[in-house]
Amino acid sequence: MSGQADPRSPEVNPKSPRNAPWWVKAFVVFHIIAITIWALPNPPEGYANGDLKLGIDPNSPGGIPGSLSRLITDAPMVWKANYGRDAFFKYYTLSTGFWQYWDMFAPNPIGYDVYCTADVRFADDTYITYKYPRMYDLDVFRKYLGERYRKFFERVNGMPFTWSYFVRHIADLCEAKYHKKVLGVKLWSHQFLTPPPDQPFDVKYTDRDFFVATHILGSWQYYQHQGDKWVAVQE
Amino acid sequence: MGGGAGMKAWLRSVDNYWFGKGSPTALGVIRILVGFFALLDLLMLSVSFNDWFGEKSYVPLSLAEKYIDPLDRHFSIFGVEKLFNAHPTLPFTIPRVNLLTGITSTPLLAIAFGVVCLSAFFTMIGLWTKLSSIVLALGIVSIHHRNGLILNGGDTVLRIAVLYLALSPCGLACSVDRLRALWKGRVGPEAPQVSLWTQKLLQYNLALCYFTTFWLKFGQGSHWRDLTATYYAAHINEFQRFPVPEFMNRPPVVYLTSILTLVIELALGTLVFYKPARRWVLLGGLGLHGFIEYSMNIPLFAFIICSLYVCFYSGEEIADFFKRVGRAMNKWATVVSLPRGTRLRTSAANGLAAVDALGLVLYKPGLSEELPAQEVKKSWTRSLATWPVGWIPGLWKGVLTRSLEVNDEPANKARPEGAAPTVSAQIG
Repeated sequence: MSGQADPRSPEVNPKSPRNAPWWVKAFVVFHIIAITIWALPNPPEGYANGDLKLGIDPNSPGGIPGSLSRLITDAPMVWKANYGRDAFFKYYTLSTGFWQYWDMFAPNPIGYDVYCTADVRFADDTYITYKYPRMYDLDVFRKYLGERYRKFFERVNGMPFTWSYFVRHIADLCEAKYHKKVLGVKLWSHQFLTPPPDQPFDVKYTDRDFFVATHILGSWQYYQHQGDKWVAVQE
Repeated sequence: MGGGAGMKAWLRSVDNYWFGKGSPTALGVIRILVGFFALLDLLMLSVSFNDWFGEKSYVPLSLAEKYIDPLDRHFSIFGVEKLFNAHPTLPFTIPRVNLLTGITSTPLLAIAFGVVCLSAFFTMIGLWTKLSSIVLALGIVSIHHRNGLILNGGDTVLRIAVLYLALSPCGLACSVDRLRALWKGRVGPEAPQVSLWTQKLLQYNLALCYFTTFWLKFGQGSHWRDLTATYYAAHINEFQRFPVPEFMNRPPVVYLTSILTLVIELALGTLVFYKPARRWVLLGGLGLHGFIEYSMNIPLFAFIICSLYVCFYSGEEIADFFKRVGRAMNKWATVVSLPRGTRLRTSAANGLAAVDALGLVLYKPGLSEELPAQEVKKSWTRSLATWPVGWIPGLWKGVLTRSLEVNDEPANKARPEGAAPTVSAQIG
């Protein structure tokens, strides 16, 4: 494979009357439509629950420009939510990897800081606190390498179906490190809500235990904190 | 009739805009940068490989499959189906591209990962570029589909970039493939002319990214609208990297940085296509991402997305840029004396011209019996593309020696300097 295109191809043949074959042009049109639909922002939640409606508000003269501008900016988003997201183009974007919805710091930057620890109980009834990698505690080089740990916890923190996997790997890591059987793991999240800029910046984390796994008779059992109760859950 | 002719002219201009031919040099430069950052990204990921891949990891196959579930077989035709009360459904499930589907063996995953790393390296240097860029794209997409729980903004941009590279003729410039073709005389020194639709798509996709994020922020972001958004972003401890003076993260400076962010993102989505504004818009983007890279721990994101800014320039503009830099560096220009009675083979001279992107080296017949070491050193140290390998003992001398042929023309009819590879900047 030389990396050189076939000289007979219209791509490299200067005598070719066309810039590109028709199927390339068709693909480009298809591709542009597909990625544009996918990248359109999702509409504000109000449209889903009926609090917001598209249209001109004729009730007051002042409401007309506001509702008109909202109509212009929100109509494509609402159209995407209703018809675009599920259109057959999704098979192309989602299967090939061209799915891209860039929402970094959008619509707002996250207004909280969160990290995770775990209480680990061994078979000899000793305990340790397992510190899941926290970027704030790492040096500049290690945090650059380890950012995926932050991203991973940011995601799994809101996905209960991932927690059993999370605790099992923590148990595996602790067993490998301490050479002792792990009998239980309790997950803690430590969260700090960033106060608005006009309020004192008092860093105080709220600690919350949210998931427990216990190893009983050769199998794991899981409990999730719901309200003020621990509820048994399946994997 | 006039309307028809006007329509034809308009269609032709649209066709020339999207599919017109030009030098693939910009794509070649993007390929080098993206290939490098893809390799770096994969190597960084390999440090914690055991935590992210394999059955004894945070994300075993069963969790990966729960997170990225199969594509729904029901689809819409933009709502038209509702008019007919139809429910279009595919007869089968379309799979996501994932060559790692079903693989639970950690050693097998590691081997696949190694192959993708190798393809990133080959893509970067442009060796077997078509194959290696396709393997890289398939590999990156597969890795992302295998573990979507750890992907950040940089990963998404990287995935899009390697997909476009795989579709593009990026190996036709700034590549080992190109050098081999020049060396063997299969192609001439002039840059090939190819349809640049992939570069146009990359431009569009990048601008779309910026425009939609601006839209989302300005349309729905309460903190962006009250101009305090950068205050919140800067106070996430987990993101902090190098120190920033506190006044930078407090009003009134956050009002300024929030509005600047919005203005730059909007400009990168729109004004960047307006040539007189392009340079300033891209400089704004570099400033924005440079500050984020300094102050926040978002690995490789700034580097990858800024690498793609090259797509807003044509290959000819990139080549001209290198020529201008070469002229500005004229004091480092040098003459390399070839052994007596020899000259450069034409094809080899074209290859040497291609690696001397800045056009700093002139090869002339000399008087010595063989190629002196200082002449070899002068050659590779001035030839930009040889820096990664020129220092290897004996390598560059070997290349230069094999570039020579006996000069059987009488001395007074020796090839004039201008005809030999004056090694002007032909980086194509």
